[in-house]
Amino acid sequence: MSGHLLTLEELGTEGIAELLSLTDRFVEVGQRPIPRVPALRGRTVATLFFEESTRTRLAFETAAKRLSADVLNFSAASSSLAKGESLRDTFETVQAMGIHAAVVRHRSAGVPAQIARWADDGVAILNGGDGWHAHPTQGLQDAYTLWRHFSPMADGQPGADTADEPTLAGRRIAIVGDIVHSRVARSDIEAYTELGASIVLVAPPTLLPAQPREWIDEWLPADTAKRVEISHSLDDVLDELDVVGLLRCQRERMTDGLIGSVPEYVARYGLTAERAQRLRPDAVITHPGPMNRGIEIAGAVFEDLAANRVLVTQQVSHGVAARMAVLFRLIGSGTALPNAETLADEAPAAESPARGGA
Amino acid sequence: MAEQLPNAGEPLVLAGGEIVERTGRRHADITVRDGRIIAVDPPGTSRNGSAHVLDAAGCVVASGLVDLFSRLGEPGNEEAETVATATAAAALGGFTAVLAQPDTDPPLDRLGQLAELRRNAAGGCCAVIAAATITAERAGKRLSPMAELADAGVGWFTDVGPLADTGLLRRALQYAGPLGGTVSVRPATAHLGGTAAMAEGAVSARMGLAGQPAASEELAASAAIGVARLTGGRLHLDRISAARTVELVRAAKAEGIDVSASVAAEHLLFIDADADGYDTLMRAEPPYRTSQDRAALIAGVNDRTIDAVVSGHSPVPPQAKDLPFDEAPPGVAALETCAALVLGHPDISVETALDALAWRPAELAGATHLGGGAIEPGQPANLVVLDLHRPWTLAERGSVSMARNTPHRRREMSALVTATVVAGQAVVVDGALRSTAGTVAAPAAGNSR
Repeated sequence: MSGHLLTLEELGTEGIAELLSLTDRFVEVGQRPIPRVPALRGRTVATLFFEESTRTRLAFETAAKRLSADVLNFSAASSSLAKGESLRDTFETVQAMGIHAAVVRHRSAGVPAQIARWADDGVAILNGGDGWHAHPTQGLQDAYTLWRHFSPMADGQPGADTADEPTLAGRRIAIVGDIVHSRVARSDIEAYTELGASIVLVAPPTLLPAQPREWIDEWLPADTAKRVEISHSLDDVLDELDVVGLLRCQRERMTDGLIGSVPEYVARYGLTAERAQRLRPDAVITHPGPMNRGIEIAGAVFEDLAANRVLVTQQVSHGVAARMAVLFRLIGSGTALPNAETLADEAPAAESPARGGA
Repeated sequence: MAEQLPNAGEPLVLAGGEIVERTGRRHADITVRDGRIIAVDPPGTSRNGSAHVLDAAGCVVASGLVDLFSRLGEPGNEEAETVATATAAAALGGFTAVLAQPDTDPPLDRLGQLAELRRNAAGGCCAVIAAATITAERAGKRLSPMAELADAGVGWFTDVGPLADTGLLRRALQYAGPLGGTVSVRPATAHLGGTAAMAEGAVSARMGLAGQPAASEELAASAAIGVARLTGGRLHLDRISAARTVELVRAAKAEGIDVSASVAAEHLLFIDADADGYDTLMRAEPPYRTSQDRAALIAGVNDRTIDAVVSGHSPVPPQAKDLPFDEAPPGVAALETCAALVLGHPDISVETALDALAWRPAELAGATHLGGGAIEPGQPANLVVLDLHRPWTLAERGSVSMARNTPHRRREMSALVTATVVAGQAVVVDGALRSTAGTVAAPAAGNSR
């Protein structure tokens, strides 16, 4: 890892697998009566959210607190120009308060990469979602959720089986909806393909990049790009899917004239009751939230399948563990991975000495 | 190089250089006095004890460069650049005249603004040619007082960007015809991503940025050419970026339509993938496109379809480049590096570079008395001395422009402007500005010739 987490692309398969294996440990921490370890005691994590967000901010804050880090919140709505202060000034002010990591979320693509260039050595920048570009921790939580759905931990315990490597090999995953404007789609594509899945992107042409094939072929390595297909019909691919990854369809896209009408979109791309009937019995559904019931997914489908086939709650809960893994890896005890016993020894957090990371 | 440079009335000799003109190359000494070339002699014959000599041995001597696109900062953007600093940068870059873009605040759309520019330019280091807007207040609604402005010497009209209303473009070309004016538009179609930060393609899709498809430029260029055909007016297509646009210009010229085109020097170097790291210095107007587009632009310069290479000088205050990529203003501070980039370009000959940087733009701007003219006795003395084998970097040499938005700070360039003579005055000597603004009384605007 470069010292930052800007995209999953830069991690590669090994880097992603390492973080997902580490996530197992933090899922276990989250199940304890006191779900807290002192791994980042004395460290400060700033959340720099230039764009409104509830769930991502909560997930990062919860992750940082469970690692005993101090959390510093910064919110700034609208553009930096309007405030007369440049992005760089804003970041350097926060950095001067003494931080070890900053989670950056911005409506403009590339801002975390820009801030990473301005960061002092030893300050890790985590991309909390930038424009349409990337949302790497969402990609990690989604990949983790699917991996652990198809390959559950033995006895609910991590690490029992050393051959238990993160993988989605052989899985067929559809990503459905507004792909062109979706940072989640881009990071999910990176995570899923690195783990060996084959992907089909399902959307009308107006919700895909203008030349989708060229985009995929220039972006991903040749062997990976071959495992990504593009379709304009959910019905054409429904029968073959292990996972239906729904994206949020924002209302403003409807009014931008990118689709003809909501009912028309639902008829072609929504997970209706009829389509749910046609799914393989073991197929599951993901959604990054917030979900528009009645658009991306029919309300009844959600109710009927919620118990074990709509993985939305798992995604959220794993989101905390995945972010703990990232924070631990970036500003924790360097390269040494904690094993379950180490973490167990450290709990309860309050009185234990901080380990390596401090 | 001369330690002492001549006072008024004393001759200056540019000795030992190789003069490069359209008509060919020759070794000769050039003697300049009182703003004019008074003699062009075989090498060595002009040197005598009393004359001040600039040693140009081993260098190319050419008529002064003329930039068809510079933003000078004033009025409205003095935080980034002033006419004094921009003309100093221009002279250091080998330009003896620059066409000041009228997208100032307020825009140059009336005689009062023209007079202000001329006052500001009077003490500049090189000549400033005024351009005026096509439309009043640059609002794209109705024509500016083009005839009044033309009477006052303005020959170039541009809103510095697209003109969405094709009917208005038609009227502008019709109206400008008898005034001898050129109407310049940068072709882009607003409804086809005309303001997006990147070219549309695989790179913009990966970076998660909105894109301008090449068709945005092609359609607007095609419409403008169609209107030029309809009216017979003089059309200039400003800073084109796409391969298909080059083809359109080539075809229009073959058909006999009165159209010219320019490209910014950076577009001969960079492509969209160079913006990969969200470096705001790589945000350009228009955006950089693919390597195929770049190759077509270079080919267009080489077969002279593209008449002029321009600096596109667009100074911004330093903090403006510390904004998100899609909020940061596009463009580079380019006057000091433009000529070096083009003259050092591996695929462009010296003659082609000089035609695109001096001879042709001087003709287009009606400004051959300010640069790009013939090197003959009796002609105004606007000259540049170029050492084509003198490595330098901007970081080491330093900069006189106030603006710092350049991606070339550490780029090693091979061609150095060693001297610039503006209206007979050696403004740049030995690659350095000899004096700050104030020593050169520059002709203010394009008196047509």
